[in-house]
Amino acid sequence: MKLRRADGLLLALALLLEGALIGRYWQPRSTGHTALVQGPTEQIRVDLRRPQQLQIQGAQGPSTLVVRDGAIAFTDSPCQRKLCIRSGAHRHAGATTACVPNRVSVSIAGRRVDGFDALHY
Amino acid sequence: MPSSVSDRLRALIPASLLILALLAGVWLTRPAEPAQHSLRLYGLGTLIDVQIAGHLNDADYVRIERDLVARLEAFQTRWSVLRDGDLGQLNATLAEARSAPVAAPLVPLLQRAQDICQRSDGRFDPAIGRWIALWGFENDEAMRTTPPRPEEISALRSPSWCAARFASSEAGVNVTLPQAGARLNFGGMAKGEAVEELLEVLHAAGQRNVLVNAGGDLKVLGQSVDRPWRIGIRDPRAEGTPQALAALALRSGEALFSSGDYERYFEHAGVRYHHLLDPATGMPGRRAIAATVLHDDAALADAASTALFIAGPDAAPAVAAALQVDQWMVIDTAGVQHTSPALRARLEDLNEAAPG
Repeated sequence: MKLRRADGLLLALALLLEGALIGRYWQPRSTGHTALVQGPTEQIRVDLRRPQQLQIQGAQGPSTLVVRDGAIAFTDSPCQRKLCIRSGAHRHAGATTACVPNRVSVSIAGRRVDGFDALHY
Repeated sequence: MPSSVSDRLRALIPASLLILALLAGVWLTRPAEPAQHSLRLYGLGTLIDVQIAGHLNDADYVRIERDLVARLEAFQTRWSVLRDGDLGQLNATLAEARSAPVAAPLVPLLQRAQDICQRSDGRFDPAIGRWIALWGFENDEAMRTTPPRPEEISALRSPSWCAARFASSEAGVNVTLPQAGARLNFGGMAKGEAVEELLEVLHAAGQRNVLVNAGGDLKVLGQSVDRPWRIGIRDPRAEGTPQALAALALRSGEALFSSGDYERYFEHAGVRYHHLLDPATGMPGRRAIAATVLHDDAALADAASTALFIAGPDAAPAVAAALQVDQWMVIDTAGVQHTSPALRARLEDLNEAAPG
């Protein structure tokens, strides 16, 4: 039985599909593309690949977050010390930041890429 | 001669089977997502991250979260200087009197704190609460922007907890100090005790592989999903995205606590005024920028890191020995790491260019 040109093409396509699937499934499921923004009463799932600005209601008022270049950062929050804003932009899986007085936390889905279970400070 | 449609289809069968086999191979060998659960609680002025390695059903998750929240709330009521709990009531009495009854749940930690105060030669002293209030570090949201005047500081000098005397009777335990006016603040030790209590809740719920991380201070039981709990020690001077300067694999039951000038502070005229006050002067300690202790006892690790921060690198070895702590690190004001041999042997240096 002789393979025809169309069969060869089909095989090539299958191998390409295979490569794509390996790329998709041989990675950790969460590679830092999704952030979970959690407030006292609501939870927002954020796609970090899409630049956007969002607001979530906290215990003291609204916190504002901005997604840019695959990273998420607090840009405004009603707390006094603004530690959440000073903590900068977060893009890596497993990263966490929070505005503690306002009860708003941000965590990026997935296991930390640096191999740590926690950062001590 | 053109082949029939059925011949063509038959010719495709091996290729189709091959494709199916390859797809099945990819699916079956995909890396499994580790069974790890994370719980977040607010308390002790920080975000507490609880990680549980292993499978957990929804009902257990909800029950554990409820029990942790209840235990944390009770702990905070008992130990907060801003609430009318056991410590609040003791402080109200000690403000006016040199002697006061101590509520039974406070007794063990108060006695341990006195022992640590004496062993550290007063470098850890929970009776400096009036100074902590004066500096505005009692409440994170009411921090001041200028330092208090020297005469305000000297006016609020209080008796040291090292001099506390406990007396037990049928009525309970009484504590006596040389003078009235002490205000106890367990900010330098209570977080360690709270972490121990949260681990008790998790252990009682049957969880043997857990990490409780209270704003960077943490203790572990068991191990992570497929290896020991691995912790990065953050560079205290790294701005923005956190950078680790060393890594450490923790054994079951170990706690890692730090005290640093980066935790709570304000800046005035280019000077950083932080919350770790020297019990000898009432001023922020100036001999170190961070101190870290690794020990099985989280409350001791917490208090000892405060004592070593105040002690600075020169006195740290003697203070650590007096506290029976052998794994510690102090980072001096020039950023140089002074690490005990027992801890150095376990650290994985991630920044070999760093001094020390």
